[in-house]
Amino acid sequence: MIQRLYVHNFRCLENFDLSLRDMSSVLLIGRNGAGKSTVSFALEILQRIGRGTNRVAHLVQPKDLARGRSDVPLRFEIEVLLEDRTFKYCLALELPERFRELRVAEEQLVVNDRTIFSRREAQVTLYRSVHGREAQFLVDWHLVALPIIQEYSETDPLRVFKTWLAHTVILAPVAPLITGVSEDETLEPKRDGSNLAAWFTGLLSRYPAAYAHIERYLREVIPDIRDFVNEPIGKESKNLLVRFEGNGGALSVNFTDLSDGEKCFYLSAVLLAANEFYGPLFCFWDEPDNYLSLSEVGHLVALLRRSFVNGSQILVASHNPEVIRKFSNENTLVLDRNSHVEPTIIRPLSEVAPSGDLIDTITRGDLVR
Amino acid sequence: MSASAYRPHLIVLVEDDAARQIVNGFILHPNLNTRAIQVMRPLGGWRRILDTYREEYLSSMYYISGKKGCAHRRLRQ
Repeated sequence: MIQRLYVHNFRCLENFDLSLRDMSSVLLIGRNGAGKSTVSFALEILQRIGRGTNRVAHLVQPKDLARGRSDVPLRFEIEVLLEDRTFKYCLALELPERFRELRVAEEQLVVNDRTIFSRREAQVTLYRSVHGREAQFLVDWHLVALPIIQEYSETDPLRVFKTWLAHTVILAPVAPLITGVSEDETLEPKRDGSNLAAWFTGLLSRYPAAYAHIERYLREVIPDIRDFVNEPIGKESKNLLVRFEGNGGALSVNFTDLSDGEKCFYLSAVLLAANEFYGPLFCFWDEPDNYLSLSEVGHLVALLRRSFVNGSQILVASHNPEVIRKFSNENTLVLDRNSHVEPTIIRPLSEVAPSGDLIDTITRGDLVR
Repeated sequence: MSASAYRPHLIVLVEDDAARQIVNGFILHPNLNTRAIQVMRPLGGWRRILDTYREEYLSSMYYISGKKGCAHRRLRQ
């Protein structure tokens, strides 16, 4: 569960402090260009580090520096509560003169005030209290150290933190890109949802009981669904078929041919099952209302809020009135910035709550002035 | 494809934003079927709730259940 995210000098986020302490579901609202999606991009950089990407140039570019400002480090700090331990990870990147790509200036992982490793430029110090040894070594300053430090065991704090980061789910689905074909298995869904079939296959291969969970949700939203089949096609690939029945008839449909909204139902079902079976997860969902009928939006958001509890956490960004109404002032954060050359400001809605109808105020553009 | 219309369900007409937020807390209860409850936008006053209930919902409730709307009788009292 993220307690705090601090980002500095990354696109429109300057000295940006997002406090999510003890909030299991949070809504981000704000005008277009306020920085809602940029928060997800910052989180995605940390997610990709957890998933093994360590070349700095593959994570951030010089153009990601706020207004190209290269004299100030780009900084990410995340504080996460996992298994009653507080993990604090910090990564600062810099672009010295005559450098074409950013390099690591500082990196540190601290668990409950005990430093696991720290780094300044290329020099890494690995602290090992259990083994009583301290190791120092050099790492190419264009590489992030976290993915390449070897863990000792499954319970090693490094392992726990990296696994949590890798399993974070950041979604901004592009439904037409979601197909039923999978060539591998994964527990690491992509932002656009395009590897949903591989996520579905990976989830069921590790946790077969998740099928019942997924089917139960889908029956609620698609009442005439009978079941679904993940048929092998060729040596390595599978294709997802969905079978319907009702009124005496039956129909088998390629997952790829489902409507965009129905694909999003599947995505929701797999997300909810994933959180149940290998969570607690953190999820950022950019506009979960996309592709859904208005009658379904509120149900989905309420279900997400209710499912992401007990250590799991969901962060939602949306402009949709139905989504906005499903959150209260205490767990709604308003992002705003005056112009493209000024940074994003974040405030709880409870501080700026209008006296009249919230949606009317947002529609008039009067929420933050 | 919503399945709720002909199943037992509850439509909540909320008076104002404070009432909406109270209902938001209520629907997070784990024993509640979220699909059986639909919270509508704040109507801005009790009088508007009564009018909306009579004009938009009462006839369909009577039609679906086939029984007289006892809630309606209570409201008139």
